This record gives sequence, structure tokens and C-alpha cells, in this order.
Amino acid sequence: MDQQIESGKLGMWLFLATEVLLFAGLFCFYAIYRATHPEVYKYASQYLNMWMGGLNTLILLASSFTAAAAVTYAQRRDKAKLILCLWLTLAGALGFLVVKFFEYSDKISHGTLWGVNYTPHVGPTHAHHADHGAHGPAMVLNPSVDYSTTTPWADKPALKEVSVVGLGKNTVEVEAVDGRVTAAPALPPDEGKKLQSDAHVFFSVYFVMTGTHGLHVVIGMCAIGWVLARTYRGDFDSGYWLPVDLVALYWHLVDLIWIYLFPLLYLI
Amino acid sequence: MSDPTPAIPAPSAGPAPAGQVHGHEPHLHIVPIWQLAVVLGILLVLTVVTVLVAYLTPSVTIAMAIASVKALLVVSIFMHLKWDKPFNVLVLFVSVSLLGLFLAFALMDTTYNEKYRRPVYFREGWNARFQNENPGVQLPNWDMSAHGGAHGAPEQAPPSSTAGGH
Repeated sequence: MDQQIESGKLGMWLFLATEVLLFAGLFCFYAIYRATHPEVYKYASQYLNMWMGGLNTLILLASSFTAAAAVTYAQRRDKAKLILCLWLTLAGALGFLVVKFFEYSDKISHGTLWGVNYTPHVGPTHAHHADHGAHGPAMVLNPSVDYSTTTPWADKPALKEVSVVGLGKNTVEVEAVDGRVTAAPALPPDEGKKLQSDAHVFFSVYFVMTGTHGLHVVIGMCAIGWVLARTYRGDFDSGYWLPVDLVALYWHLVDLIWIYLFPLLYLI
Repeated sequence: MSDPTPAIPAPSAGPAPAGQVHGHEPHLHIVPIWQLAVVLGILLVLTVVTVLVAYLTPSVTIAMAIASVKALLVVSIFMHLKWDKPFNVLVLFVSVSLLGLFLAFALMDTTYNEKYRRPVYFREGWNARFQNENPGVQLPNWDMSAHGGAHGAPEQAPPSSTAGGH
């Protein structure tokens, strides 16, 4: 019995090592482009909503806790609490995917997608920067967009002044009358176009990394559901808990990857 | 001799020590729930800290350091590696080391490759300042991705147009 547990755990750790190496390739992808295009990452990450990413971090950490608690309850043969913890873990995974769905649909509606599909309609809005303009750029205006026909800041009529990223004291007066932005941005066309034309790289990185991670969340949900079904069937009533532990290990890896993805993508 | 007292008592002989429910799994360490809850609390606090730090002074180094502390907590407590076999620790250590190796070699190439050394116009507004201070001087096209934009190909312009200034 003891030997079975040890060999099962070793097999899982070897599999997790290959998972780390899978994501290692993606982290290299991220690092190389960030080293060569730091300004693009800084610019394009403003399109991401850090509160959504932060919420997902909290959800995953909490579900990681319930997964670890599930292992404890499985080892204590507390079936009712084991079932509760597995359901909570599953709910956390579902919550993560729901938040991710809203983020992805936001990207699709704004046209901020990967590669050739990158066709942004509005400049990035960063709520917490807009509220505290002293801390840095509020948003970058896209010189190729006619802002007189769009209302990207319709919900912020009080916004009067917008500082342009990277140009320090250069600011643009934006008249927000009835939610319509009437003033043309004074961003130098070379720089604006440069950042705009390279921003697709960041979104390629973003979608590949979060997509691969999201796939792992879905696989993890399947695994948790499988363990849940076996728990109901009574497989873990007599002191056998190894599948619960192995699935929890997988779920912790999903959490681990996100612990790194959150600051790397959202908090630049 | 007639009273053999084993140095290591049989697992099922005495009462099970705290944290161990049943004697037939002597190496089993059950992590108490309160310990998991404490770790969760620390993880949540560190998440808030990393957001605050990114808000005040964005730094990849600090963000990665905080993330690594969080990862260490998850791996050692949530994933039981603290009480696990050392060989499993070795497996994880090797894979993470390889990740570091890949990153180090990849970044060694990009940061020391002359072709990628471009002016950081973003951070300092370098282009804008240069053009303010030197009106009329044509900046070279730093763009290597060959978009064929509206403002012409700089290769066709005479390269000696700004040479007179030197």
C-alpha cells in the first residue's frame, strides 16, 4: 500500500515536471519578446483589466486551498467534507472560467486579439490609472482612430486630461461632452503607430499563455469531477485516497502557473 | 534477552500519534486544516502586496520574488512536498532548473544581440524629444518589421542628407 502511494506520487511529480517544461517554452516566448519589445508590453498590458486578473488569482488560490483540504479530509475518511471540498474546488474552477469568459469577450469586442486579428477599436483604458493620473499614464490614444465617432470613455464624462504614455509632460486635452471625445490626440504618429503595430505580439503571448492555462483548468475540472464521482461511489471510504491527492497536485500546478502569469501579464 | 523490547514499536501496537489516523500507513502525514488556512491567508495577503507594489513601483524582479514565495508555499504545504520523499523534490527542482536554464540562454541571446538594440523611445519619449530639439532632422526608421507604412521607405532617401551636420 505504502509503495503504491509512493510510486503513484512519483509518477505524478514526473508528469508535473513535463508540465513545467511545457510552460517553460511559453515563458521563453514571453521573455524574449519582452526583452526586445519592453515598451510594447507596457503599452499593450494596459488593455488588460488587472482587477479581473486579481479576482481570478484569489479564486484559484481559494480553490487550491479547498483541494488541499479535500486531501486532508480524504485521509481522515470524512466523506461529507471531502465531497464539500471537491464541489468548492469545482466551483472555483468554474468561477475562474466565467471571469476568463468575460475577459476574452471584452478582447473580442475591442478587437485586441492575436497576430493579424489585432484590430483595436479603442485605446486601452485603465480604471485605476484614470482615477490617479499622477501615478502614470491614463491611456494611450490611437492616432489612427477617429475619436469623434467613438465613445470609449462614455462612462467617464468627468475625464478632462489624458497623459500620453511615455511622453511625460506632454498631455492631451480631451473634451468629454456627452461622452464624446472631440479633441484630436497629439501623439506623435511614428510612436503611436509603432506601438500599435507591435501590440499584436503581446496579445499573441497573452492568448497563447492564458489559453494553454485555461485548457489546464478545463482538464483539471474533468479530473476533479472524476474524483467526485468516485467519492460518491464510495471508493475512498476505506482509507484509499491516492487519486484525490494526485488530482489535487494537478490542480495546485494550475494554481502555480497562474501565480506567475498574473503579475507577468496584468501587472506590467 | 528474554524481554525483547523493540526499539521501533510496531505501527499498529500503540495508540496512533497525533496527525496519524491509522497505523498501517506509518509515513502518512495529514496536514491539519488550520495550517492550510494559514497558508491561504498568507497567499491572499501576498497577492494584495504584489498588486500594491506593481501600482506604486512596477518591478519585474519584485513581482517574481513575491510570486516565488507564493509558489514555495503552495509547493511545500499544499502539495505536501515538505513531508514528501526527497526524490520528488529533486524532480521538481530539476524541471524548474531547466526552466531557468532555458530562460537564461534565451535572454542571453536577445539582450546581447546587436540587432535588437533599439532606442527605448517609449520610456523617455526619446523620438519626440529629439525631434523637438532638432527640428527638420529626419530620424532613421527603427522599425525592422517592414510594414511599408504611409511615410515611405527610408532606404530611398539619400543617406547623406543629415551627414552635413557632423
